[in-house]
Amino acid sequence: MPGLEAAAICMLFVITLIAIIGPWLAPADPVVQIAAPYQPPSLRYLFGTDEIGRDMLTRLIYGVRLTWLPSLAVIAIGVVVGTLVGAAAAVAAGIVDSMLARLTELFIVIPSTMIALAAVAALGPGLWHTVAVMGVFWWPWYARIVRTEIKTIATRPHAEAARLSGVAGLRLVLRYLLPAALPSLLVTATLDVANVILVLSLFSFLGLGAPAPAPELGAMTARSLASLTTHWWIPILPAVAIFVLVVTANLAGDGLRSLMKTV
Amino acid sequence: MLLVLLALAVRAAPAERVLRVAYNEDVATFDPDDAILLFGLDAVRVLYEGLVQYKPGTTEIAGWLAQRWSVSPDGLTYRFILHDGVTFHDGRPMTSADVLAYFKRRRHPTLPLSYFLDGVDSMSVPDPHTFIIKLKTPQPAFLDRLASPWAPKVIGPAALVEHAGGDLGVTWLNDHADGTGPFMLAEMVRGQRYVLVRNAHYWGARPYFDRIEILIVPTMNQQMLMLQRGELDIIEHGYPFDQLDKVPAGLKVDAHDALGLEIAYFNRSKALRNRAVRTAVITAINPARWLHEVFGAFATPARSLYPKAMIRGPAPVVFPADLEAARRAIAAVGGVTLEIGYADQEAPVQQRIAEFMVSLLKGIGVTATVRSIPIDQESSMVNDLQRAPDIFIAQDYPDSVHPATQTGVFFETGAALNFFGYSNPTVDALCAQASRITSIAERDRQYLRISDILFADGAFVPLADIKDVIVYRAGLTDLGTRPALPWAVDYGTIRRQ
Repeated sequence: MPGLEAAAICMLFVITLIAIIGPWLAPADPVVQIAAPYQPPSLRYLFGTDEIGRDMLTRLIYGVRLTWLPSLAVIAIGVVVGTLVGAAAAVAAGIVDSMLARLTELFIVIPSTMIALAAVAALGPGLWHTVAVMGVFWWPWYARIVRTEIKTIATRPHAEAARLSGVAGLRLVLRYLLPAALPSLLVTATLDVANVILVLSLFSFLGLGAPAPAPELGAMTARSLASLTTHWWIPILPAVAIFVLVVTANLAGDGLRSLMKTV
Repeated sequence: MLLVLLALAVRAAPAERVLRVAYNEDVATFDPDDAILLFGLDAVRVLYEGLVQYKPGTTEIAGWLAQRWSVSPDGLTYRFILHDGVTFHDGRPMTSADVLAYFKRRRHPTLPLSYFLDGVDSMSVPDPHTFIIKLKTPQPAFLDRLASPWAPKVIGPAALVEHAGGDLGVTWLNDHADGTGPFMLAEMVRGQRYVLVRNAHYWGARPYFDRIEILIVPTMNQQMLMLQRGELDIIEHGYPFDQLDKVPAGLKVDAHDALGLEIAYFNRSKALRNRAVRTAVITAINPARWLHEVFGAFATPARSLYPKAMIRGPAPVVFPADLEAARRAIAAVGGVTLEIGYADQEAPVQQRIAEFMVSLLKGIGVTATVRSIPIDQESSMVNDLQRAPDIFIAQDYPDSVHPATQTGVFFETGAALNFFGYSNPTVDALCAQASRITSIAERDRQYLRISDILFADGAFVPLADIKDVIVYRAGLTDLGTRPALPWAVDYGTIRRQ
C-alpha cells in the first residue's frame, strides 16, 4: 500500500476524532463574535475571522463535524438498508429476488440527487432531513454488491459444507455468507464518503442543510462568495476543507482496497 | 469620393448615448398599478407619469402631469390642471378624459395598488385640462400618496381600450408600455434585459441618454466586476456596505437619506409572548452593538419607527441596557430558542444582521437560528404564527413620506405588512386621529407617541435608518435621487459630463 494511502487512512481516523471531539477542541463558540469582522489569518486567529467576527478555525472544526458525521450517517443508513435488501434478495431467490433486483435498479436509474433535493425542500431545510432523505437513496449500490457477493459465495465449498452440516437461514447468512461480502462493502463505503460529502456540501450550499448560522462547510462558502476578492479566507478555507475531506476519503478508500487485496 | 463622404457622415453622426444598469432580480411587470416590487420603479417612472411627484433630493411635492393643483378649504376636493401638449407613446394627445379613464382602472379592486385611491368618492373632468378628485373624508396624506413611487401613473388608451382584454390590460402591460414618459419600452427579454429608448416626442425636458439598457444580473459580484470593466454604469442597490470605503478608482458613491428603515418585527405568539423575554431580547439586539459593523457610515440608529426622512425624532431610540437582567430573565424561563427570519430580497445584509443578533442573543442565553423568508411569503406569515419566525427583520419602505403610509401599511390592525398580526385598539384610534391632523408639527408629535407605544409593547423594534447607496461611474451627474424613491436614479435627469 503506497505511503499516501496509508497516510489517508490515518487521516481518516484523525478527521473522525476531530469531528467527535470538535466542541472540546475548538477555541471559541462557532456562532459568537470574538473579534472584529474580517480579521485576516494571524498568530492570534489562525484562520482569521469571518464577516461577523467569528473565529474561522472554530467554525471549520465544527464544519468538519457537521459534514463528516452526517456523511458517515448517510453511508451507515445506506449500508444497513442495502445489506438487508441485497441479502434478502440473494437468499430468497425466485420472484422475491427478481422484484428486489428491479427495485434496486429503479433506485439506481432515478436521478436521486435531484429527487433528494426536491424532497428536502418539501420537508423543509434541516440537517437530519437531508441525512434521512439521502439515506433513502444511498442504498442500491450496496444492495447490489451484497446480493452479488452472497450469490457468489453461496456456491463456494465452505458455504456448501456449512449448508450440508445443517446450517441454514439467518445463521448461514450472518455467519458464512455476509462476512465474505464485507471487504467489498467496506471499500465501496469508504470511497462513497467522498461522494456523500460532495452531495451534502451541495445541499448546504443551496441552503438545505442545518439552519444558519450553523457552520456547514458548503453553506459557509456559499454565504461568503461576495467576499472572495476582498477577504479570500472566508469562502476559500471551507472549500479547502471540503477538498481535503474528499481527497482523504478517496485515498483512504483506495488504500483499503489495496489492503484487502494484500490480505 | 464616396468613401470620404461616408466617413464624414459616420463622423458627423452623434454616438448613441447609452446608460447601462442592472437589477438583482427580474421584474414581473412595468404596469404602474401592478408593479409592487422595488426593482423596476426607476423604469416605471420614466415610462409613465403621475399627477405630482417629489422634487429630486427633497420630500417636497411638485407638479408632474399636473402643472398646478388646488385643494378645497374642507380638504375634500383636489383640482388638478394638466399640462398642455402631453402625448402618449403612440402619439395620441393626453386629455383629462384619459386621466379619468386611467384612474378608474386604478381603483379596480383586483389591482394590488388600488388601495392608493381608497377614500375617493368621485372623479370628474369639467374640461380637457382639468381633473377633479373628491374624497369622502379629508386625507392630509392624499397628495403624498399621489407622489409616491407606487402612485397612480397614467396609462394610455392603447392599453386601456385596444388591448384591455378581459383583465384591464394587465396581460398586455406585462410585455408592453403606453405612458407619457420620456422613455418608451423597446425590448423586453424576460430574465435577461429590458431596453428603454428615448421618446422623441416627449412633452417635457429632453433626457440626456438615448437608450437605457437594464440587465438582469442576479449576483452582486458579477455586477461589481461589470461596473469595474465598464460594462455597467450604475449599481443602484446592493453594493456591499463593507466594500464602499474602497471602491475602485473611476467609481463614485452617492449615499442619501431614504425611507428605508430597518425594523425587527416580533411574533408575540410563541417564545416572545413573555414580556420579560421580549425586553431581554431587545436589550441584546441593541443596534448600537452591530450597526457600524454592518453598515459602516451608511446607517444611524433609528430615532423612531419612522425613517428620519419622514419624521426626525428628537434622539435615537433608547434601548434597555442591563444585560445581566436580560440573562436573568432568560434563565428564569429555563432558556429560550428563537428563529430569526430575514427578508430574502435583501439577503446579504439582512442575514448578516440576523447572524450578529444570534451572536448577541447567545450572550444572554438565547439560542437562535436564522432563515430567509421569500418576499411572496412575508405577508402570509400572519396566517400561521406558530410556524412563522419569532423575529422578522427587514428594511421596509413606506409608500410615501407621510407617516400615515407607514402606520397604515405596517402597524395598524389588519395592515397589509403587519407581519405578525399586531393589534392594539389604542394605537388604531391614535393613528386614525393622527391621519386627520394637518399641522405637521402636531401630526409628527402624535405619530411619535404611537411609535413609543409600539416599541414599549415589544411588537416593533426600530433598528436603523439606512442610506440608499448608489455606486456609479465617475462623470455621471444629476442622478435625481429622492428620499422617497428607493434604489433608483432618475433616467430623465441623469447625464454624463
